[in-house]
Amino acid sequence: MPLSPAQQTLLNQVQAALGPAISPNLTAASAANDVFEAYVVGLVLEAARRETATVSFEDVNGRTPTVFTFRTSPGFIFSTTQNYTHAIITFSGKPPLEAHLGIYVEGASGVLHECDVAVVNRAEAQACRVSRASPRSARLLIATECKFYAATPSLGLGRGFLGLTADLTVRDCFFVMNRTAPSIERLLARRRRHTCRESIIPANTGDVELLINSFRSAFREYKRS
Amino acid sequence: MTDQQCAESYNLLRDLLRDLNFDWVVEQVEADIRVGILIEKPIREISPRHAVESIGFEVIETVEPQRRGRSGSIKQRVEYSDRERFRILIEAIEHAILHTTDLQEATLKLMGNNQPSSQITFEPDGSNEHPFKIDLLDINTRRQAQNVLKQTLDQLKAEADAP
Repeated sequence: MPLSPAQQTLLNQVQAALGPAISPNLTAASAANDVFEAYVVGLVLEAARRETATVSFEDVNGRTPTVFTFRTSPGFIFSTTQNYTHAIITFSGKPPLEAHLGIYVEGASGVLHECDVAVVNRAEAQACRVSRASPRSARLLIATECKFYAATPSLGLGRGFLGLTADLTVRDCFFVMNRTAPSIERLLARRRRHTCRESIIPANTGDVELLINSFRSAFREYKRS
Repeated sequence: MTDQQCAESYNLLRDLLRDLNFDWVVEQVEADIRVGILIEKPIREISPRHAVESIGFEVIETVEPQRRGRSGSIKQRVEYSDRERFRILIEAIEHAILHTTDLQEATLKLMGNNQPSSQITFEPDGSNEHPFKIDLLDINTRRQAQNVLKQTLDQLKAEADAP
């Protein structure tokens, strides 16, 4: 049975609405994922604030940015290609931390890994910028892999995350997705140091709060240490 | 919508996404569809001595008393129906276009400590990727069209769910 006139009209309305609804900047999968990573950084900062941290921003040259600039693909923490922005998280009585989007970190094997969202000891970060080195994963408080998918993310992404975390000696590793992926969730469920959070989009306030609380737990542990 | 209508609608939307440079959305949807649905089924392993053919295991489909043998389960792959495929595509459009705007807006707000920053730029660090920016002006400009799109997609989902 062909489409009814009403159904065809509905599809025509979708076609008419799609063009004006799309941001020309965000037609690429990579751009959508970049925004998702920045959102997760934002959730890290929200978690820090709720744990009474002060949050400020600076660029790679130590100046306060007037416009926030993030990477489209992973880079070195010391890179001056652009005035990339990172956040400084300060808890009273504790060494400050930095939150970065898309930097390379050094695993236990000495191999450099891409880390979508990294919370690192600030002294380590500063030393790395001076020495043109990458932070050691043992100096990370939080490492997060972010996956933005239009459809269900594939199991291979979860396997890749396991490989990444096998070489990272970071306290808390997170795998964060905007969709649900039962196979990935099951794969990661039995790993104690890994937390998988699904359905992370602003409208899903319950799931977002779960993730924020997971970040808060990591920060509370840090404050107690 | 009938299955045939869902299939035709799927093809129309798929082609539309490709025309709008959203090939990646189509590719991800089709990869998801290829995987299909995995349904857990109880099985019983059959000893070769008791089987006419050496088939290794049988899928238990009934609740009748079972013969002796080790039990377990397997994941059986089932194809998505045309209706389900259409649904998957609609949801993918929601994520790729509507939810990305929500993410942009939320990110601007979170970075500004709940007072929205006006703009964030994304710049490549030595790669060939294109820089882009997210800003409130662009988001607000597209809001009305996004609301229309959301309403239309909701109606389409309702049509897809109707027999």
